[in-house]
Amino acid sequence: MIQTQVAVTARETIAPAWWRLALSAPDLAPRLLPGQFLLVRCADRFSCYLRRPVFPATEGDDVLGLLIRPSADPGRAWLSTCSPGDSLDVIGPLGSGFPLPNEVRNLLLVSDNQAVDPLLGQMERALAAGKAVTLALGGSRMDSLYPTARLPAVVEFHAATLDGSLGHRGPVTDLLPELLRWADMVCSVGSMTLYRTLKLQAEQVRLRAQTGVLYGLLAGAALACGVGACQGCTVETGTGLKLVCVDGPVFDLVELG
Amino acid sequence: MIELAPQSKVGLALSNPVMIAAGCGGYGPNYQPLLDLPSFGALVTNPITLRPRRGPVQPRLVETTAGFVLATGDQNPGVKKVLQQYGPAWSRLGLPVIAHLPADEPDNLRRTARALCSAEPGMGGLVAALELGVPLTATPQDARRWLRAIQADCLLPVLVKLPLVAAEIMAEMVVAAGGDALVIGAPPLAAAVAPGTGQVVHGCLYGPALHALALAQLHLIRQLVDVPLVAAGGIHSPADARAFLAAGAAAVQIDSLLFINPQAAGRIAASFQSN
Repeated sequence: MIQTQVAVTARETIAPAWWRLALSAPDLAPRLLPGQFLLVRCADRFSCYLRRPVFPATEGDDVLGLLIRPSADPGRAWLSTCSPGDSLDVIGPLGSGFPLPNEVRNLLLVSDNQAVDPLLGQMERALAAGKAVTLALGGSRMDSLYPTARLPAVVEFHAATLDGSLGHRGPVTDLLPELLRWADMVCSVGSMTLYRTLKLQAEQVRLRAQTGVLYGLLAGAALACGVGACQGCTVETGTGLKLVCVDGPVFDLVELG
Repeated sequence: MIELAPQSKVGLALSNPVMIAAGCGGYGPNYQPLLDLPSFGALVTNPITLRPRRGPVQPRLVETTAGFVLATGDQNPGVKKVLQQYGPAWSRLGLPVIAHLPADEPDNLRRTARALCSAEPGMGGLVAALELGVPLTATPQDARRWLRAIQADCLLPVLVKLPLVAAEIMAEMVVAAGGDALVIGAPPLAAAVAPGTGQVVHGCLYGPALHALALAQLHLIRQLVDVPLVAAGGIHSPADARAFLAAGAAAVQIDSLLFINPQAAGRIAASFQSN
């Protein structure tokens, strides 16, 4: 864990209202696991006092890729204005990442929101380890989904949109019963509704949900310190009180209850 | 060296006037990778109570303009587990550790203090001193009972942290009750609306504005009592710390700056290292 400055080296528009920042981070990129996070100092102390958690994906030895979307949050809105030449004050890597045990062969990645960065990192990591990867994304409409053109051809992709503009019409959880039969591990980023449904569906498919199979990332938790000092991110789990910042943000969904 | 408890048999000598405030540095090792802890004068731990406290359910943290409201309900795993989990690390942190005890039933305070004091090695135990957190509702009788309970089986110095908004009113009674030093003070109670859910979070307010509140109280209390004063609240620069010291504080505590910029907190401590 370090506090350092990372340079923004590129800003790319990858789809309407989807941007990717490339960050030069040789001290962080090799150590950041998918699902771990950085705390970024944003804007000024008056409008944005606390750091914001971000979940960039490692892209090579010294580059982190960070997806940016329009946001009403002043910190994230400020991040969306960053361009090459800017530098960011970050602390990290923080928290625990997604596991990827050797015995896993079929990895299912699921999201029902736009915070897909940690899944993209896990996707690259799994492909490099020779795993089969399926990605299922859900959103309100086509332009709220991560642009599919950027996905590697070897990844099986499933989309679900509430307005039917891409893939299945309905929530992404409609797609999961079949995909859960195929997967031997699931990594997800999204709402508590997604996590609860995933767990229920997994119980139906596998008779019961086992530990070490379903993982969810609590990306929306308000975080102040990131190191377990402030106790601001405490959540109740099946195994007692846990801190999202140090015990998570990746949790076994069986433990989340 | 700065002596914060000249009347105590044990004493509390700091090599640097810049301390880490309770609730901001965890139980010790949390910031070890990011900070040079030995460059600070002391670390005050997160709250320690006799039995575990769970604290409130989420939401606990809401950002405000230039600050935040944080509600933890003194969450902690209880003194026994704190000692098991963190006690062994305290002697290796390289700075005095001061245990923060929120006000509680006198017998609970007595047993908590005894556990911390008797957790040897060393005559002074694993912690160098205790810091009692006093609530707004405390009476002179409360202060006396709490301090008597803590000091019944424990010789360590006791700093008393007063609520920032009532520090002037409470200072003399706490000194009369036996406090070795005063900490001015605990962040004020506040409320903020959590974005998304609209729930109102009642907790403590943190941010740079606290510095002005603490400075005003410090000036007033300096005229009232003779014990060493420790100023806490909103320090974000070496100049903020110097303003407290110039107003009569013997030491200062850094709070939420730890969260937003640990390096800046380290630079403040370093700027006082040769003093």
